[in-house]
Amino acid sequence: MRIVTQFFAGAALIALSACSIPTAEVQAGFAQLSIEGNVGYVEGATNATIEQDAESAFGLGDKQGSPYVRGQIDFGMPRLTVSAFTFEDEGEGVLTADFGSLTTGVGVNSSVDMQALKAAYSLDLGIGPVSVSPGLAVDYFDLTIEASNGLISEQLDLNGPLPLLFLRTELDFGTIGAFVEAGYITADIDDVDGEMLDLEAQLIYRPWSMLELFAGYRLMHLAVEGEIDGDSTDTDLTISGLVFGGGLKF
Amino acid sequence: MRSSRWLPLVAVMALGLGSCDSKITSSTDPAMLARINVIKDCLPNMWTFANGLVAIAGTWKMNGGTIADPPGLSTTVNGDGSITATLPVGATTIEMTIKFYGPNGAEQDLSAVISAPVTLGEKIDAAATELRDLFGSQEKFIHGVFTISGGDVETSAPEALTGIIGGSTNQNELAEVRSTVVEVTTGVPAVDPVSITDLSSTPPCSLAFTIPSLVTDEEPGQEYPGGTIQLTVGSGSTDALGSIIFDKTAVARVTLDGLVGGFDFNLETLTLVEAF
Repeated sequence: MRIVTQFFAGAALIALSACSIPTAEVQAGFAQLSIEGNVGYVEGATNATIEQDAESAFGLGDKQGSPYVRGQIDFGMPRLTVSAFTFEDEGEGVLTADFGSLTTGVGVNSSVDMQALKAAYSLDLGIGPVSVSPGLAVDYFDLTIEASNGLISEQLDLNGPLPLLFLRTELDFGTIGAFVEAGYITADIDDVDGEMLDLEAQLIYRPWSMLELFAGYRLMHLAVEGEIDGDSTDTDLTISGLVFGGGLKF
Repeated sequence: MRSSRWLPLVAVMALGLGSCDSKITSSTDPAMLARINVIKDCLPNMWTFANGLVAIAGTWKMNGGTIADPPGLSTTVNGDGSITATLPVGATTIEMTIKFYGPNGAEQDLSAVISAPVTLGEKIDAAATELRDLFGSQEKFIHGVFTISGGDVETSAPEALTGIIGGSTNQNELAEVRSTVVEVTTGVPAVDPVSITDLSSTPPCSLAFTIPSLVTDEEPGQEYPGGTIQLTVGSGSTDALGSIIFDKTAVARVTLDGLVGGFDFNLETLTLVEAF
């Protein structure tokens, strides 16, 4: 945490001393996302394999339309970006392993609900139309997975902010631009091992200087394994898909 | 202007210093549990009486009159051409008056052909043959108005089952059985639920079921019906809505609205096995 504080302190000083006029971008769009991976949760501690496929066991995995927003303030060298999306999916499946007190073979109605907010602070190192921006990001996510047979409901809530190492690469030819952002962290906190990978990429077309249209890709991979509240969880999920939309640049 | 440059930094730091609140929550729906218990407590016993009705309607299958009477069944051919069938179920008695109808709900007096046959199945088969000879492929049906009484079990009012007669010109067939209104007016009467109450249980159990279409004579030698019955099982202030899905085997699936899965219901032993 001390290193993080030092980084932001340094970045803030750079921002304060910058001479350029800040520019801002706002984008809104539509994401066509789907979830895949495994979910596992059993009561108590266990060393057994508990994960089961989100698609076959929970009936999740169809593409779902989701709102997507993104904003960016460019202070010259430092840059702050924020993006967010929500995701919901529902399905019906038959459990292939115990899920809490729901036992193997039980039919369930299931749902997943995810809100994700990413904020990144990076420093642009540009050469011509190409810039590379290392920095730090924070992903705040709120993931709820519920399975119910109508009598018993089991709900797994995973949420919290995760700091990520962050790298952004951008090409800007004026009318056409593109960027790829990646954030990653792996951590072992108390009894839980966690890993998050956050990818975001866009191809941007600017027909006018203030208006832009974009098509891109968004991926959030979250893996959590360990004990929560004395129960065991092993969840390894990826939410990903295409995003489309438009924005304004000031 | 300068101070605004701190805002992104403050926002990021605030998020980064936030705390996780991951948790696992397990809960049981008490209302669903109550409905499940009503099914378990009431359905097997209540279905005993519905099974009696199914047994009587089972003789409507027109396998050349080869369907044996259920044990204890007695029949009387009345002067108007109707048949009174009486079946004891424990201390309870099902009494059904069976009449025959042609096109447009025209009641038929078939006493000339149904008096001689001995079993109810033989009488029904003889009646179906006569209706076929009279009306060919036109609409024709059996209509049984019944009451259930005795042993603290009752229907609050007469109820009815209707059997639609189909089949080819040389082979009678019971196309389907429905629960219907008692009154026959211009044709096959409308589908209507049957209600039975067992006052001997505390609190009293009630069973209401609707048969839109139950197929009992689709295949030669068919022993168990096919089709879906909507049911409401009640006890005290709890009503459990669901259905029984018959798949022509001895085990039907009882479903409960809102419950994924259901019960496997053995029609021979009237035992329920949880399947959820």
